[in-house]
Amino acid sequence: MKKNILLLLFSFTLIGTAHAGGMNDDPLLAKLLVDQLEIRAPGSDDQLVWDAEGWLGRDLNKLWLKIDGEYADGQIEEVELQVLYSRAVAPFWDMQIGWRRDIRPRPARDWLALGVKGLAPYYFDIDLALFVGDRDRTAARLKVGYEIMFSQRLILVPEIEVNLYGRDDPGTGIGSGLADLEAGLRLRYEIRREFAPYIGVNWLHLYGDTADYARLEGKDPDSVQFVIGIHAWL
Amino acid sequence: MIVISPIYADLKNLYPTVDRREPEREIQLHLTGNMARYMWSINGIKYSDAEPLPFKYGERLRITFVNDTMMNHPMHLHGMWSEVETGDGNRLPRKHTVIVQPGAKISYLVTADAPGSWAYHCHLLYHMPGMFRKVVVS
Repeated sequence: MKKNILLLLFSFTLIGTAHAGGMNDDPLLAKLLVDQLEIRAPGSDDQLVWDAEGWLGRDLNKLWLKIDGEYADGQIEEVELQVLYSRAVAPFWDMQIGWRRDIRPRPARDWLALGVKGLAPYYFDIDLALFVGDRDRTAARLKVGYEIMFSQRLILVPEIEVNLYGRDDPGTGIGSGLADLEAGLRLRYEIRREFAPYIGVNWLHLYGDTADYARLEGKDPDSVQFVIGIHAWL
Repeated sequence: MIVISPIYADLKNLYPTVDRREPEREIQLHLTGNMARYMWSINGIKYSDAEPLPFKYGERLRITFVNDTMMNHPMHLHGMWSEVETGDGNRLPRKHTVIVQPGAKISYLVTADAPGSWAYHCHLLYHMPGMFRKVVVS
């Protein structure tokens, strides 16, 4: 009798959960991740750099947004937005297709984006993408990151990003071939899993015509900067 | 095949086992999922895509779980006892929920003595929506 009452009670809780949507095995979920939001020095007094992404969707299909940019000397120097359809194609890999718009610097450039994003063996975070723009513009980007966990809260993140372009684009200061290589090392402390301040160092090197365009604008094609910032998600 | 889990091997029922029959039938179920995507299923099929699991009324059967994931799954069969195989068939402990350890196997015996539809699921709330089956005893 006691067992039956318990079962009855538990059945009610189950029904309750089902009505609350808890029994939906493919719920609509969303995430916003500010991977990096940081100031850098030495350089401009007010340099702020961010790299964020967000998604909305179910287990296999998601709408994926990526936005990164840089603010310096009182103006937004760089902003890139990607709006992608993301499809889970393997246990650890998503295929992503969509639109990339380089909003700053002017003139804006539009690209068709096609990429794979996922976790490679030995826990390397990979984001590899190809871009096709108008006037035969092409580009490729590879981002690789890794998390070295000293503890459950103290995490060292080495990462590299490399950008390649198919042709010169003097309007936006990009040269063909290998354009830039960026390597960072950031040590973050997760006060909560959702909120982690970090410090680190970031090295950026421009190559070929891209370096020449930067020199013409009086910028250094090779820079090492210290960074301090916040990694957060909700 | 009897699979004795070390976490239950020391348990012993105060009373003798009621149903002494050998199992007529064995069911093997894999506990499956993707931890990164947080998708959970049994035999790779989530609840909404799965057919009910049929039990024959009155039968004695052995259920073997194979946990293919790296998380614990406390599996709860409603309506009937889960008699965990400990090596001592005369004093099988009766449980509502049986924990299946990560990457491990465990077996238990069930007497299908309760006709009707019953829930059968992982008891971790976040795994429950997908790692769930309806058992029909008829």
